[in-house]
Amino acid sequence: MTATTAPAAPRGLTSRGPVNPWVRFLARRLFRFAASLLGLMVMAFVLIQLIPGDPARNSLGITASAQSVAQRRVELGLDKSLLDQFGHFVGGVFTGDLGTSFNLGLPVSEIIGQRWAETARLAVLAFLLAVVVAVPLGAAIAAATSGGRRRFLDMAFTSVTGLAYSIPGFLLAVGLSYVFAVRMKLLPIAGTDTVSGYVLPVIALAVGPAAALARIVRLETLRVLGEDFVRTARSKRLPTLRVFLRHVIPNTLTPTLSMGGLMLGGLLAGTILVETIFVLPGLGSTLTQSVTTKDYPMVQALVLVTGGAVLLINLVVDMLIAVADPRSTILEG
Amino acid sequence: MAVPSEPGSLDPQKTLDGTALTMASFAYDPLVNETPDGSFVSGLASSWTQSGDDWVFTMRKGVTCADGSAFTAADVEANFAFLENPKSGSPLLGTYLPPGITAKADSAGTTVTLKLSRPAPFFLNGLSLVPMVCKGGLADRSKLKQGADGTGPYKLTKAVTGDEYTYTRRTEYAWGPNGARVDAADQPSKVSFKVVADQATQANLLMAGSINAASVSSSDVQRLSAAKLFSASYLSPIGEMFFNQGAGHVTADEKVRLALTTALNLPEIQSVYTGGTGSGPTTFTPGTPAACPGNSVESALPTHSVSEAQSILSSAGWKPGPDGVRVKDGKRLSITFLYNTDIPSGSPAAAELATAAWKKIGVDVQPVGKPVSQTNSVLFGSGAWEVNWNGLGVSTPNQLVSILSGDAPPNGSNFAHIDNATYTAEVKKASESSGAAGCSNWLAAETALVRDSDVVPFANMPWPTFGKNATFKFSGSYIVPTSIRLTK
Repeated sequence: MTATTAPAAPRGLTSRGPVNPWVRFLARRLFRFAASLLGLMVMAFVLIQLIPGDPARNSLGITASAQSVAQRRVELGLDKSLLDQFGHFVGGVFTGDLGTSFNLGLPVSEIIGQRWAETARLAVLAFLLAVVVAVPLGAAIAAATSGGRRRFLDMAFTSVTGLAYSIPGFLLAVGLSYVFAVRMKLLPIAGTDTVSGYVLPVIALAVGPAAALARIVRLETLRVLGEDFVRTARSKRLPTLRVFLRHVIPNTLTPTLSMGGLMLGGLLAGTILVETIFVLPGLGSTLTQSVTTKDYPMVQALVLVTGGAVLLINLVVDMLIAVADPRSTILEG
Repeated sequence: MAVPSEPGSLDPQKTLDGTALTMASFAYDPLVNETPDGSFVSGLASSWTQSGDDWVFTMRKGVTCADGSAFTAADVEANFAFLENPKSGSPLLGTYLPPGITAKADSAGTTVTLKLSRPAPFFLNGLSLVPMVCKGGLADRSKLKQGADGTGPYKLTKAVTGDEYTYTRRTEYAWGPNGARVDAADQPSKVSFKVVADQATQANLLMAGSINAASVSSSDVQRLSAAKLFSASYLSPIGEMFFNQGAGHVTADEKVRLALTTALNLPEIQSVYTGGTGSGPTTFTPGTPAACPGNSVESALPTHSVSEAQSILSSAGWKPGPDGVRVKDGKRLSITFLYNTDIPSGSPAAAELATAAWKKIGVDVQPVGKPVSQTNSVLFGSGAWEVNWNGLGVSTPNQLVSILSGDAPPNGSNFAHIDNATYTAEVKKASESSGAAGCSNWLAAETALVRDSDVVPFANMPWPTFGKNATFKFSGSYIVPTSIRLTK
């Protein structure tokens, strides 16, 4: 939806000036996005420097001669001042040159280009699975337990989702791998040579977020079910399904979208351990290896790319919320 | 075959990474090969002679690179021009090769003479670890970062960084160790290295038969052993105790080092540290083949005794303070104990034992566990440590000289600031001899370090590589590519 087709301005916004509130909203969001990206760049550079260790000595090991280590430092550009290194990093970002991996000796952008799709595929599949399971489940449980009915079902749902949310993803990954791949031999232990290779990693990644999302949807649905307009709709004897689809679900969208955006961002981070356990050559396993070897350019670029992706997702979610519910206060923030 | 980490750059002359060098042995050959019994057999050179500082290598005929071009004596000369140039930044220089070698091929291209500028003990041992690169790779080294250009038994045919590297057999290959080939029916036509960081996943893949070999050192060793899988291993000096002797550190005092060593029940520590799979060291280079067989360690280690350790500290002027921690001239006997948290898996538990033993004799201990990748930064960077457990995995004693003597960081590699006159004198004598002829001096040099508690070797551990439907042999710490046999 564009500014020209926007609905009537939300209350209180028109008094701020002649500029269309949607334009103001977009400008604010884009400014915040750019500022966050800049902050991310600074953090990406500073944080990796804080991890103790010399990448040159690290790459050559304890038995390498001091001369070899000194020469490697020159080759990696580590003999330059931190300010020079930062300037080179920032300059590179604006020219599309993310540097050369210390470890692999290849352009970082080339490595990310080869590996981002695996991570994105994993995160998006897990996100879809979580949404497909959580939204109907949360709504159905709310419908079945509203008004204090079926307390046992309510308790069972709360307990199971609480447990599912509390299990660390990597532990779930190891457990699923052991049961379904090692013992039962139903699915591959590792790799994604076949579609079935995605089943366990996607489940391992989706269970926690699905549990959290289902709880949010249940709570929101319960809240909306208690609203006057739902009672009115019911009193008109509209079919239950129609009440749900036309009146309940749309009014739970805002918190669900907010949660979904955060969830997708979290899933990107969650891929780190899941990729390692299921041997998936994505950005997560690359980040693990790069932090270990202190591959500065690789870590900086990965933080920037994954962090930028999360910021972008949040931006898109904010816009979707604004479009879905123009009365929400998001337009003011 | 599973490897635990990405190999990084595949240029075999620009890395000391174990994974990269394992893979390099499939695509590249050295001039000579060392056998498990310590003798040297042909590689790219069919024979060699030594006269003073000159070594003349006769090149094997018919050797070709993966691209089909011939590998000649002139290529060896070009390899050494690169390796010996400090600006090339090859870490093999100073580790496996002494600086100052000049190489000259004869006009017929059949021999190459390597002229040493100084005595080089274990010269052939070092040469056996230096892969030779072919013309194409020498002309454009960027090709080698994620490619290969060598004469080895396999050629790199697929490299997916961070995932899998596939090597394909060269059936024409006939110049392996002692003329070994790879064209037998039970030798693999392809060898793929799959990056699998998680040890449990490596073990799972091996048990399922999805891979044929994996080097596993975690608790998964027990279930793989119980499954009666084939395994071959090499002995690694995984446990060596170092003391920071830099100015201002309490461990610069020899009596403190001796007391700390005496307080430990080293056999018990060794057993916990290695999960019961290890043994007590006898030399600093226990690998197979052992460069200098013998026992430089046992007789020089002090006998374990808590009361003796307390007595040593008291006689050195370290008296118990009000809180039980010993004090001398107003300085508390406090140590930072740096140990690896990941390798070996028993390290944290053994570190607890040592910490308790040292506290018992009045030492204030701050145990600091770090992954291996972060330990070096403390040793070579901040220097904020007094005691460190480490393992210097080298194949010959001369490779340790720059670490156990000479300049401290940042100008040198002597991270423990060791200054042992007897060690230096014995090394000087040993360096004038070639290979095993200097072993008595090398062993005496090691004994001097142990006796003065400069280095306390306390654990060796076999590092197993398990095989399923495949067998193989090790030379040093690397699988011999021509030794792999498929059993199913």
